[in-house]
Amino acid sequence: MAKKKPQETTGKGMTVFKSDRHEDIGAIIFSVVVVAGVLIYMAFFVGTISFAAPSDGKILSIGVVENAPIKTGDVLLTMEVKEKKLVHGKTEEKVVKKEIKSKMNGTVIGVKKAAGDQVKKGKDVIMVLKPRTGTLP
Amino acid sequence: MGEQSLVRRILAIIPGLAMMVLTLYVLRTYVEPWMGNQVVLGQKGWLVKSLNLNYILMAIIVGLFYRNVLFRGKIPGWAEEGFRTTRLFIKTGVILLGSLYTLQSLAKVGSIAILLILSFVFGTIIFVMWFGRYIGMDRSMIGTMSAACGVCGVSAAIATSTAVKAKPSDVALALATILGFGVLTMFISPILGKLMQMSDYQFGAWVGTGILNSGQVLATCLAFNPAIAPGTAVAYGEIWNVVRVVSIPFVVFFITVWFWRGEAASEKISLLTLLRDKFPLFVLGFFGMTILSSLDLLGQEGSHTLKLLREVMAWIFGIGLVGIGAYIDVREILAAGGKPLKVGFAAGFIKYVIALAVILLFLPKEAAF
Amino acid sequence: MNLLVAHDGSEQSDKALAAAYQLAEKLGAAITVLTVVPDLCLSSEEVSINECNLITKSLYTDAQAALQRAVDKGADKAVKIEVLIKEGHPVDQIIAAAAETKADFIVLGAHGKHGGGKYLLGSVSSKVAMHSNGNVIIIK
Repeated sequence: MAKKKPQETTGKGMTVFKSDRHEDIGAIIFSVVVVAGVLIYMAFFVGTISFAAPSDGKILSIGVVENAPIKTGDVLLTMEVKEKKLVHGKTEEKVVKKEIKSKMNGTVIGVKKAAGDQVKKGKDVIMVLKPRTGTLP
Repeated sequence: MGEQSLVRRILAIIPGLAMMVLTLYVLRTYVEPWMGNQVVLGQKGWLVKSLNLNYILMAIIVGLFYRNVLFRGKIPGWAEEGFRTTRLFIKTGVILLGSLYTLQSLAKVGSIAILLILSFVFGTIIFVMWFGRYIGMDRSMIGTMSAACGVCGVSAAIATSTAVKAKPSDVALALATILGFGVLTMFISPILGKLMQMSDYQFGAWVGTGILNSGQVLATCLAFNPAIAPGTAVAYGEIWNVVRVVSIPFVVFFITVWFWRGEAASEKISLLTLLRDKFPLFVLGFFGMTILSSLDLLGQEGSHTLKLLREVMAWIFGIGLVGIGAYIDVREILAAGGKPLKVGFAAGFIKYVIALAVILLFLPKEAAF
Repeated sequence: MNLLVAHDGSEQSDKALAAAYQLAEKLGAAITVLTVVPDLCLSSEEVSINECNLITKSLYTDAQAALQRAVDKGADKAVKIEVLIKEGHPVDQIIAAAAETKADFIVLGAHGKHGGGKYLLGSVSSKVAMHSNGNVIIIK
């Protein structure tokens, strides 16, 4: 004699999000919070910024002095870098002089390198800057 | 299941989430720099440069390890909810990626993307419909598999399966097939891309055409080039991905109409309902970010603000990637078999190769931005 | 005496069930027929909770119907039959169910409907035979 045992599935209860839509909205809110957090931190709370070398190369000249104010567009330094260009499908290397301009308004707190120094991208700190509160560095 | 209070729900996700965050922290702070300093085969950092073992791949591999070795195939109850937050992190990451574009660059790259993706998606669908009929698969299954292979999305497969009344166990097989193929190509693609010296633009376009789902596109683009900036693989791949994801409601509609045309009864299917239910809302967040970036509200290119934002994005992706690895159940994928497997692999492989050919032949190395 | 019969809807598992009925009649044993349904909820980060519940529900309904059909075939025999559905990996769940139902024997077909994985991993039946603490009867 056959006996049936009816079975229910265990519906998985959502913990934080009730549905896909809720999750989407949650993600949007999360991103807004992240962006707002970053913007507010950078505008008001970041103390000093260590400006590291933007590429490998040699410093030719430093364009600012300590305690001097800087604004967007000011030349911070000039560097000699090797640039790779794709010319007709071949990569060519050229040595160029690049002017590194400031992207923010603020003050120069300290200068760590001098003309003639070789720097590595991302590793060597060239100068320490303090952004003007309320602007985005 | 009863409703749980908000506090209890948040407490439930903490253990799993902590595990993912901690893993990423250890990987980024200790393991990756250590690997970068190892001298293997006479070259410093060979592990990272040649094998592409950056924190991206390692996060996935560790996730895989957690799921398949540490937890022996099943994520324990205490970690389950935490790992489920992976979806949130991936979606947030994708939204934030919108900040890499401006409306103009999006329009320029987007138009090519739309053309390529629509042709690949619907080309695959037509192929699967033909091949499925050729090997004698039943119609519901053909419908489901074509959605699965065409858009390469689990959600597309599930949405279509309900509309065409497919057998759920067959749908499960279809899912395992797409996932299996996706996981494979996720690891192989960066190596192939480097071997063929593809540019970021070409690589992003190739993997975005619909061989991988959203999480996998992200993972493989970042594995190819971990930099998050305009003009990197992830920037291009994501545009392709967004177009693909937006096409899902249209694909479901198309296949449903095809299916019911051959049947006696006809289901009332409305494109509007589909759009309302299936449109990925978070894509709107993505466009929102692009607008913010176009208005220069996020800082100029090269600014420290953008640098910090992208660093945060890398963390968010990293956490999501551990989750992606942890979601891959190797045993389940290997257990799939039969007709869906054949069709899935055939479609996937053909699409992979043809996309590669088309991209290499027609797409220039540099894009419009 | 209890028999646990693993059934996945394949012809072979029907054969296993038929053999199990014969055994049960002779031995005066009770039978629990088990189907294992795959757990898809954590199979991909793309599967949302709604979708996972949807699929799981339809998998259960399907499994229930299949089990009912199989059980009805043996309905005229004087054997006590119970039906069980579990979720997860077949090998793990079969062994777990055997412990739960205190089965004296696990009965299953030599191969089922799983295709490709069979060649890479060895069939479910051989893995169950390998890992089970109790006795396993494999029907060919």
